[in-house]
Parts: sequence; C-alpha cells; structure tokens
Amino acid sequence: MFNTTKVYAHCDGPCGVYDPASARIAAEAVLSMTKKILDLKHPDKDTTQAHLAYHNTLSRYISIKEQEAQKVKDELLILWTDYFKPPHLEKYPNLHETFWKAAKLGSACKVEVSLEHAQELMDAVKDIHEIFWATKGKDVPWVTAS
Amino acid sequence: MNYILWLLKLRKRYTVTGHSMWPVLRDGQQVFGKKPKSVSSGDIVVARHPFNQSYIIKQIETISDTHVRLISLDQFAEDSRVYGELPRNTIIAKVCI
Repeated sequence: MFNTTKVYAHCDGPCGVYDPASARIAAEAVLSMTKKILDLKHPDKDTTQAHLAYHNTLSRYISIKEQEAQKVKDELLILWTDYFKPPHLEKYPNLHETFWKAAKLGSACKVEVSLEHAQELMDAVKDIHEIFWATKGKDVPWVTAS
Repeated sequence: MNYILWLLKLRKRYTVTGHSMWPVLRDGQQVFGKKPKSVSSGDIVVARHPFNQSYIIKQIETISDTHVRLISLDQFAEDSRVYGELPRNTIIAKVCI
C-alpha cells in the first residue's frame, strides 16, 4: 500500500548473512567426540599395533573436540560482537550472560571430557539460536544433524 | 502533518534497515523525508552511498560548502569514519523527526 524506499543504517558489510547454524554444527561435533572418547575401550591385547591404533583414535577424537570447541567460541564471538546490537540487548537483557556462559562451556569442553558440559554447550547454542531468530522475526526450528 | 504532506507528494517515505541509528531510529521504522533545502549538523539525512547502489540514513556531524561528514549513532558502524566525507549533493532528503 505504502511506497517506501529502503535506506540502510547497516553497521558492516556482512549485515544479514549471520546464522548460528555454524556454531550448532561445531557444538554437535564436540558432543559427538565427547561421547566417542567416553565409549572408547582400552585395548585388551597388549600389542604395539593395538596400542598404536587406540592412541591414534583417541588423539584424533581429542584433536577434533579441541578444534570444534574453539570453532564454537569463534562463531559465537562473531555473532555476539558483530550481529547483536544495543536494541537486541534492550530486548534480551541476559544476552551478554548467555554468550559468556556459552563461551565458558566451550572452554570447559576443551579442558574436560564431560558429557554434561558438552550437552550444556549444545543447550546454550540452542538458546542463542532462539534469541537470534527471534530478533529476525523468523520461526526457524532447532534441527540437529544427529 | 507529514502524512498529509506525503499524500500531497511533498514528503517521501523511507524504511530504515539496520541498527546503526538506534536509539533514534529502529530497524524497520518508517520515516518521512523532505527536500534538503537547508541542512545543518545534527540533522538526520538520506544520502546516496558512496560506492553502492543504495541509500544510507545517517546524521550530519559537520558540513561545509562542498562536503558533509555523516556518522552513525553506533560508534562501530560504517560511515564517514570509514569512507570519508561525501559531496554535499549526495544528500537527497532531510528526515522529518
């Protein structure tokens, strides 16, 4: 009905292309690696080959967990510092606390092999997913890969 | 009053996209603009972006006979702090607050 012209009050080039999905994928990888590490059984056979295979697998799981937990922190930092603006904070006063806790959980998942903290990291990313899409006025369901 | 002037085609309607002018202007807010016969520092204006095919909405920080310095209310946003002063004739409307 009303003919209007869009005028941009954007803050940065990538305005409009943010998405918490990348943090969710990385958090899922952290949870998955944590489960795999906890399920790993020490080899019964006392052979060099068995020990090598075990340590190689364990090292790879730990390495992936470390990388993906860092990726969660990186992705959250981008959302926190680049996407979210003062008007969002006004509507979601616990925004800083939510991100701070999520980042802390990312660190905890690097330091520990904790199923509890890995799940809490997923929950924290889900909270951010919900806030993010609410600010966009879109109903985007939380869907996980596994 | 602005609405009547808009019906008389003496005002244009603009929709703000983005948060750099918060708290004065919100994302999605509609504003009226008029021909910029006279502008001064502190005015909020619509201008042509210096290198994109789009329009921007910013506040005049300083103005000279030839150039204007436009700033956002968000101190970390893209404006004259990034692309420098713009020619004064890039301003196409003065926003009626």
